[in-house]
Amino acid sequence: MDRKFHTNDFERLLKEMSDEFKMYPSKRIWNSIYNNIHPQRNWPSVGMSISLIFTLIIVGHLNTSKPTLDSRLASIQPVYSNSNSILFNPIVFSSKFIDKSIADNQTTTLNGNEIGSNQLINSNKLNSNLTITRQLNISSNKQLSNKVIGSNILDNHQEIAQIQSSSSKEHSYLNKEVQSLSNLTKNSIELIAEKTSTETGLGQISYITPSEKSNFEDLMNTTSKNEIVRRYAKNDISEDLQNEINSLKQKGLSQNNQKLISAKDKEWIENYALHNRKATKKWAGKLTTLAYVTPSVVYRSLSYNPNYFVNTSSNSPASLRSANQALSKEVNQTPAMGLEIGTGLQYSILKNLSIKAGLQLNFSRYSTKAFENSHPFSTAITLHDFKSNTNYEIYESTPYSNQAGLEAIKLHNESFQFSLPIGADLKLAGNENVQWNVGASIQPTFVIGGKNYLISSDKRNFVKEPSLLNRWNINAGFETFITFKSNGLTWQIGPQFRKQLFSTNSKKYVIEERLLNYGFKVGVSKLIK
Amino acid sequence: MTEELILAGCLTNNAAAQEALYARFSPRMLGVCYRFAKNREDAEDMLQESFIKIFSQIHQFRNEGVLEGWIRRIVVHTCINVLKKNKKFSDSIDITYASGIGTKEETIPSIMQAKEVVECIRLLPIGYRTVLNLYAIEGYSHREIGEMLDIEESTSRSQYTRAKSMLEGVLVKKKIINEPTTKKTFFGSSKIAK
Repeated sequence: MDRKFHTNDFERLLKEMSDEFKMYPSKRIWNSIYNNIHPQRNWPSVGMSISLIFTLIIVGHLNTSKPTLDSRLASIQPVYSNSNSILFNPIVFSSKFIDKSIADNQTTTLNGNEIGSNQLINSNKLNSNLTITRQLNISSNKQLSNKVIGSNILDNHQEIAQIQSSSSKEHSYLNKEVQSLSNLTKNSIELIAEKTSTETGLGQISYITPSEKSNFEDLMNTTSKNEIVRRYAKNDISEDLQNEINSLKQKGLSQNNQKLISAKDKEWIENYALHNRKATKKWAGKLTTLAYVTPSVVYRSLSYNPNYFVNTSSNSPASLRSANQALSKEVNQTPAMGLEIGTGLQYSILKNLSIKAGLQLNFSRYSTKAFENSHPFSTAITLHDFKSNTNYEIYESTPYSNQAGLEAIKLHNESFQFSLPIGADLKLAGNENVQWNVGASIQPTFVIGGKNYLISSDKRNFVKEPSLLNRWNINAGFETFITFKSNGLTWQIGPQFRKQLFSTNSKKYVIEERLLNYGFKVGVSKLIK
Repeated sequence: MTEELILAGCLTNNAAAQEALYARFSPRMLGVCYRFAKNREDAEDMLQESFIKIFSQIHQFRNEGVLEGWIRRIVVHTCINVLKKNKKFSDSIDITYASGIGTKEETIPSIMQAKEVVECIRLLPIGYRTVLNLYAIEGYSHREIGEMLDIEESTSRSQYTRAKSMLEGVLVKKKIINEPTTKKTFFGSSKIAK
């Protein structure tokens, strides 16, 4: 399409000006375009990211999958008798321990070879134990690290445990097992023969005797591969094997075992399982962490302490009430925003009831309308003397007036508090996802700091007197809130009311001040599993 | 690098040639996008989408016209598509708003006259602005504009007339152009810009 230019002056002006107009795009735009038109250039970075993630996974796996047993086994050195025979070796020890933990209680031992509850001789176990035999020969020459051997055996036995569970179920796997068993048996016989022929004075291993060797050879010669398969199918192999095992055990295996493992080591094995049992968490599923923030509006109420109230005409309750009303009218105050931030734990004791405790920081503030004068002047505040049970006045100087002055100002009464709310929440209605709750708490509070302006005896002035600030107090909180679940978190929203139970100021001051907070709580909680 | 070399490089998907093409045309094309867009960010998005189309369709350019014209056409069409997709163009034209645009004098920077003119164009309602951009600046006919924007040709004409009148008012207020004088002709009187 050709552009049709219009000859009108106005349009020509627009076109010229617009064509002159240039803007320079940010580098980001070109990068985005480049990435879009050359997606293959992203592969190196994607590949790098994948390899990095893969490396991290492997490193993480290696760091977390190492059993702590390794370190303990490494610390246990082989025990040699005077005749240089091994009485206890951590390698055999570890194999026994692992077998004990992974197999049934019915596991029996044949020359260190294990037969599981399914009564099938596991070729892998034979393999691992033959490895032990070889390693022990080397070990007797003191040339190999026990730690390496121990960890290899641990890995072997972990695999064996997995194979055992599946082999008992699959008949096809049985054929493979028997085949390898047959091969390995031959190997083992050869190895044993080799061992016995090469045995010298350097280290005679006490747990394989010539009589055991011959028994083992007899067993394997009389039981061919096909025979094993056939008899296994008839379920009678286990009986034969058990008989053989029992006969071998009778011939002194138990004695060898006693030599191999000392009473102390036995105790250690038993204790290990006991002390390394996974601890059950009684509080799991019941304990919840909670964090919340509550913006609030702070009011205060002023009243005379009824115990110290003295009136010239009457001390009756009606008189006190009217005096309190007059006092409230005298002070012109405006509410201000406060804030509560807290965290805590919640424990569900019943289906609908949970108790809670935590830490909370409170900031309360309200304002009093006043006037500031250029010069301070003297005024009195009324205090109570507990010894004589009489009221008295102290004189203070202040520039703040309640009724008239040079400049209208607002006095900000502030209080920073630290409290420990303890309370309970009750579920009134709802389902798993949305619930309506009510809660109450009592909050022992420590006043960290703040500003307080006290009204003078004649109600005409305000006096700043931090020394009369009460450091300890108790608040009561009441709330109702809706909870709902989202992304694994439980949100709480609802109104909250908090009342200060004791006066802000010291008991000495005859006028009591109590703060009232009306807030809206927004909280989030998470179940601890 | 000459335009032929750039074009040849782009046809072989050469990154350096593509960057050279982008560097050469992107400032002016961003100016085009900016006249259509609501703000700079939208304009940059339009530019990005346009250049992706340009590089993916560069083999369709047959050297029958100027490369810049071909690129500009893709950019304009992309801008119109984005406006239509975001339903910005279908917004009703608010005459009240349009008549009040003269009060926004403080928003117009007075650095360059070209920028001032473009900013004045951008003060127009989206419908007016689009038609004015396409007709007066990009050179499309009202029939083509009607097809592009899915409106009647007559609507395009009337919108352009109003847009032009409105823009004239703004430009006069900004003293970029003088106030049009009434010229008596045989058929009556008409306003002309000085």
